[in-house]
Amino acid sequence: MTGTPKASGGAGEGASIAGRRDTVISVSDLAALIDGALKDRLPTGLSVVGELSGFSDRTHWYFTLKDEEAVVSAVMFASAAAKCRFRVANGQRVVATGRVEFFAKQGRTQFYVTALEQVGMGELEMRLKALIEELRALGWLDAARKRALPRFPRRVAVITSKTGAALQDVLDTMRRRCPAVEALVCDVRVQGPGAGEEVAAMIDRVSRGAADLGIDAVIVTRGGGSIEDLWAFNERVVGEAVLSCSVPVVAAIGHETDTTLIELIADERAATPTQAAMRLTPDTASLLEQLGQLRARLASMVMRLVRNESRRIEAASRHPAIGEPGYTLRGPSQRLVLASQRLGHSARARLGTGRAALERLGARLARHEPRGLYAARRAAVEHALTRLRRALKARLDPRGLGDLSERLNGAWGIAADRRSAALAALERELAVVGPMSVLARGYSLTTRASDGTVLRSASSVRPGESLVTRLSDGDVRSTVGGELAGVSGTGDSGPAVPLTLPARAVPVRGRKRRGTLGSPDQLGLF
Amino acid sequence: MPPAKPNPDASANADIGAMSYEAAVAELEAIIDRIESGEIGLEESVRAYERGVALQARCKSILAQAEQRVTELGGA
Repeated sequence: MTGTPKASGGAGEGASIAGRRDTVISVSDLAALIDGALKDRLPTGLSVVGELSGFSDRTHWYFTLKDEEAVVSAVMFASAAAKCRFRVANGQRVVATGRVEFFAKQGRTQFYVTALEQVGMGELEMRLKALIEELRALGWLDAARKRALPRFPRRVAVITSKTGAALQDVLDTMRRRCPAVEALVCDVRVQGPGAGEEVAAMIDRVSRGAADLGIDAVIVTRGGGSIEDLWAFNERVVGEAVLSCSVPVVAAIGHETDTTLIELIADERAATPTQAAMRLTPDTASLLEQLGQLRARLASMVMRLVRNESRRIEAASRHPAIGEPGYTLRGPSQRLVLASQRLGHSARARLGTGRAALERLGARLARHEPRGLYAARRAAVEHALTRLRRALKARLDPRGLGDLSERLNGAWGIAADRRSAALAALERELAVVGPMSVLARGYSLTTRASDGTVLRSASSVRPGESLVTRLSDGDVRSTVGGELAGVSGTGDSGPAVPLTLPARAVPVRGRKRRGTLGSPDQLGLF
Repeated sequence: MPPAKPNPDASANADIGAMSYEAAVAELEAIIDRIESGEIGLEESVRAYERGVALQARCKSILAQAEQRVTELGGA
C-alpha cells in the first residue's frame, strides 16, 4: 500500500480547530492534526540512529528502528532502498535519515527513510556475539561434541508451540516418511518474555525422562520471526539445556537466514521444521529395500556355505577310499591273492612232483603185477600156439587140414573121456579100499589117547588107560577097565567088560588087519 | 537349502520381539558379516541364519505399522 500522506489543511485550519476546544472532531480530522503537528515540530531531514530490526523486503522496505527504550516503525521506498550501499540485516546499527509522518490509514507514526547508513552492529547482536564466543571458548560449539542422530528413533519429542505451523510441518513429514516413528508433542511458548526459560525447562524435562518416555531424539523448532521473536533461542539457559540433554537435539528456528544460539549448540541444525523431521525420520520405502537386500545376502551366504560343504562331502565321497567298497581292501586283497597263488603253485608243484613220483612207482609196480605177468605169458603162449597152428597149417594139407584138426580134436576128446573114466574108476576103487569104506563096514580104529599110537593088540593096554576109537562117523573115548582074556588062539571070548561109555568095544581077535577081513556080515567088494 | 526342522532355539530368539528397529537391523548386519567371514561353522551358520530371518521379520513388522502415534506431554 502506498503511504503517500494526504496533505492536510494549513496552519489556519489547524488554528481554527485548536481554537474550538469543545468541538467534536472526526478521526480523519484528528489524523490530520497529528500529521500537521509532526510536520510542524519535526525537521524534515531527521537522522536517527538505532538498531534495525524486523526487516522485511516487500519491494519497499519495512522495518523498525529501536533502542533499549523505544521502537519506531520505518519504511523505505524502493527508489530510496536501491541506493542503499550495504546489505541490510536485522540487528544492524544504522543511521536512518528521513521524515516522520502520521500514516492515517494505519494509524501509526511512520518514519519515512530516504537514506540508510550502517553504523555498527546492534547491541543485542553484540551481546549475542559475545556470548557465542564465550561458549565457543568453553567448547559448547565443538563439532566433536555433537552426537550422531539415531537412524530409526522409536519416539521423537517435538518442543514447539502446539498452535504453530511448525508442529504441523514436522508431524506431516514424519507421517509421510515413517509412521512407525512416534511423536511426543511438548507445548511451549516460543517467543515473548520468559519463553527462553520455558523452552530450557522443557528440554531439561524431556532429557530427564527420556528413558521412561522412550525418547530417542528431540526437535526444537519454531517458525520465522524477527530477531526479537526468535530471541528466546539465543538465551544462555537454552544453550545449557541443549548441552546437557541426554538425547540428540535437532534445532530448526526461523528461516534459513536466521541462526540462533541453540542452532549452534544443537547436535544438528535444520533450515526448516520439515527438514528437521526429514533428518530424524527414515524413509520406509528405502528401509524396506535395505531389509530385502540384507535378507538376500543372508540367504545367499548360507546357501554358499551349504553348497561348499556339500561339495566337499561329495568330493570326499567320490574318492575311491570312500566310494568303492573294496578300495581299501584292494591292496591287501591283491597281496592275499598273490600269496595264495604262490601257495597254490608251490603246493601243486609239490603235489606234482609227488604224484609224478607216485606214478613212476606205480608204473614200476605194475610191471611186476601177476595178472600182467600171466597175461603176458598167456599172450606169449597163444602167440606161440598161433605160430604153431600157422606153421601146421602151412605144412599140412590144406584140404585135409580141416579133417586133421577134427580128428585131432576128436582124438583128444576121446582120450580125455577115457582118462576121465579111468579117473572115476580109480576114485571108486579108492573109495572101496579107502579107510572110510572100511569104517563104514563096521571096522574101527582105536588109538591110545595119550600118544595116538594105533592099538593092534589087546595085550598092549593096561586098565585105566584112555583110548580113542575111530568109527565111520566119529570118535569114541573110553577107558580100559579090568583085564582082558587070553591073547593067542584060545578062542574064548572073555567076559564082557563094563565100559564107561555106552559103546561096546569090539574085541579084536589076533588076526592081522591086513589081509582078509572075512567078517560074515561084511562081504567086501574085493 | 537350510534344513527345515522345528526350531529348538525359539527361546533363543524370543528377545527379538522387543527389540528396536535399530538394534535388530544392527544385529542382522552383524550376523551377515559373521557368516560371510567364514569364522563360524556350518551348523552355527544355519542357526545364525535362523536368527537373522527372525530379526528381519521383526524389522518388517515395525515398518508395517501404518498409523502415526502422536501423544502430548502432560503438564509440568
